[in-house]
Amino acid sequence: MSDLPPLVNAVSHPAPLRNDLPRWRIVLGLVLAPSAFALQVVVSYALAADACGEGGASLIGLAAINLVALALIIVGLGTSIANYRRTRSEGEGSHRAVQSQGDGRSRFLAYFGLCTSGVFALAVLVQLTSILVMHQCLGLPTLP
Amino acid sequence: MSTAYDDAATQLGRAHSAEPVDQREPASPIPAEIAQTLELAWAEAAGLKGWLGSVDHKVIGIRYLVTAFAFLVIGGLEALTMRVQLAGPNSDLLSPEQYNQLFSMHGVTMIFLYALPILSGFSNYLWPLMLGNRDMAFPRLNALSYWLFLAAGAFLYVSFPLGAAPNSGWFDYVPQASAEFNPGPNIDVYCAGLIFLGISTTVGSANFIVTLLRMRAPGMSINRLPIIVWGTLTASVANLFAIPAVSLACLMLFMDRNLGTHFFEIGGGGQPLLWQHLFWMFGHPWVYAIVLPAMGMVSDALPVHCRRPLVGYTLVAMATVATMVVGFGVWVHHMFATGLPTLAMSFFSAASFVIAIPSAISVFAWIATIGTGRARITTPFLFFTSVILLFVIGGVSGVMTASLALDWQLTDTYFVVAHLHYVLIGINLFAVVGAIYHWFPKMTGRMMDERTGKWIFALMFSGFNIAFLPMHLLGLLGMPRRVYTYGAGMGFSGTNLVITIGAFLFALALLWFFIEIARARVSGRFAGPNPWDGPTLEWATTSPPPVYNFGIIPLVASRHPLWEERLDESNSDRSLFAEGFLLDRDKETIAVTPLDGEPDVILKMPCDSWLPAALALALLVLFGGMLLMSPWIGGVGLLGVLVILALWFQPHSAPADEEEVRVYG
Repeated sequence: MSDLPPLVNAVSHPAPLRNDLPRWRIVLGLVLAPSAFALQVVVSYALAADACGEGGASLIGLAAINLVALALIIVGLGTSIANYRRTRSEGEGSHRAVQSQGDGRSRFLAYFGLCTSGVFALAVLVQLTSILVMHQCLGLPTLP
Repeated sequence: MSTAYDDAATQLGRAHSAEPVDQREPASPIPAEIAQTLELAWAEAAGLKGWLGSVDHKVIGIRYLVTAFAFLVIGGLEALTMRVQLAGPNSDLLSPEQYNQLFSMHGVTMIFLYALPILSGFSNYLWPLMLGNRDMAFPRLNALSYWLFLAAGAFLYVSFPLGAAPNSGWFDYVPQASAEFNPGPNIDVYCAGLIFLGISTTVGSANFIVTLLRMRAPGMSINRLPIIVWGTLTASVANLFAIPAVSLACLMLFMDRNLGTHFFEIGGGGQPLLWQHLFWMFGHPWVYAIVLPAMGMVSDALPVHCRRPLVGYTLVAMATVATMVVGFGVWVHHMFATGLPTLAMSFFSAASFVIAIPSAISVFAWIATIGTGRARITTPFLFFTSVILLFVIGGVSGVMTASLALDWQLTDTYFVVAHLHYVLIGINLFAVVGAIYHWFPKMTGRMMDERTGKWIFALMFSGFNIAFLPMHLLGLLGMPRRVYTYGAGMGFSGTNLVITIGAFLFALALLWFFIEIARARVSGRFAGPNPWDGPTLEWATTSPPPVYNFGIIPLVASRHPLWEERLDESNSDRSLFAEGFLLDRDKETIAVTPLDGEPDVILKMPCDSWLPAALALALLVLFGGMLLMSPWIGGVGLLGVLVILALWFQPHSAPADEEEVRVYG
């Protein structure tokens, strides 16, 4: 449909910087942190199902999966911050403008990813408190 | 941001006038020279054929709204009957079995047949208008979704007069629902009915997703979507993941009960708890599916009455999606009392606390919008602000039950009943009534009365809180839910009487609301195209809109196409309404690219068809045969389904070469 776009030139393209940021990076910024949360919940639940029972939990497995989740969160946050820095000039104003108006499609998605990563980073950290609070189930020593 | 609306809107609720509230021409013009052509191309057939075969999203949307309200009335009557039973101790108005069926059908009706379908009605009606297009992506699938919903609702209720309705609660726990303890047809009706209804929800969700990705006005990039679109999109994606869990669970239970399998029976190596896992993997996301679009309606409509854009648009859109994602990770908090290992449950407890964060973002955004705007105290405004208060109360009681220790004390008490009603009625029904007041003028061309509306709000808000606030206390006192009566000396009597009085006040308000709809439909003041002075595209066309929505497809330059002048954002682009793609050769509309809304292809849309209604009828026969375990009836239904699908998918000439781009203006 090469005939269709010319009329649209009457208004500015919603994503002037769309070629400056590969789509796979936007996708990573959006999905890494939620994936870390999902992985942490589901796998931790499966591993911890017998933690306070007879068999005991796989401490190494639990620690590993939570470390992986933390690593994914850090990468996700880093990617989304980098994405936002790359696109923040796409629309007028500072981060407050993108917060309230969402101008610039690439910048919007980058900022969306940044906020998503922040929320899910917090979620992963709060989930970690389960292990810290319930450490007796894992056979870890208690504080005097 | 002072506007002509200030003068016009202040007259709302005052002296009735024959003049429309908004006397301006619609922002999106419909040139006379193309109006007739479009009318001919898009108009429905006359008579029964047109009625049965309509694929117009506005007709389907209103059908969804009317049917869902009908189910709300039915579910409400069931609730009132239960409240009469519980108004005093040792009442014998209902037998235990009758009470079991009533509370089960009340839950099934409100959760499955009212709460989501009512939002589907709004989304069906509003999406193409808000997105600046002419229809949903798959109009016939849209019609099928509605007819299946209607058929599944009838299916679930057909056993009710026979005293064989579902009777194990809306979440139907086994082993109580197993054939051993519940041998009648009640649970089979539930299982087959939910599988049937799941088909409707699935096809509807797929339609919403594709519509969002492709059926928008040129220029409407992903960052310019109304929040209701984010809400319904999120709910639709969630439904595609959640519905299979409950459909599978229902199929497995049906097989356990009728074909001798043992998925949930310990004696055969099965696991009763597997039901709860499968059900709540569906059930908790579903709870968000029935509130997120409603929250989206508040996010879009409340700012109109505050005369400023929503505060924190990007954050609210993000929070909508994040709430749903976290919502998939909290299903076990419905199972805290089942004896699962403590460490395992603690992960879900933590996630349940975390979900408060994205939920609260919307609340703070609404409060900030009210605080920084110039609010006009209209009826929709009152309903939307009450949503905030009720959401906070219901949300806080939800966070309380996220705590393992507290949940063990509160589970299966009236505290949980209070919590879920604050959330579901508070966010869903109050938002819906506010949204009816807000968008009724667009749907009918007439205003609802403001003064009556405020009285209705006062009665509804008072009745609701009188009915449900004391339930917290009852729960803390230890009254269990789902009991058909209680003893005189248990200390529950006075509170229950107050709750019953509140429930009747609430019902009275709803009755008044329905009467007011009927009155306004006939004699309400004419609205004009944009009586609330809204910023989004649905207000750019006439009220009610023509069957083709827009004569010229608009070209969008911002998130508030109708407020661009007054917002005076530094971006100098302005949306175009008087010039754009001229699509008047048959039933045409435009599809755009998913992210940036660039024009991509001209679509030829399907005409009216009786096939969706016929397919729903054939499936009704098929599921009837399944329920009766009758190969003959089931076979007839299956044959009908196959024949109709063959007709539906028969090849037709693809008019790809007929595409011709023309521009008006």
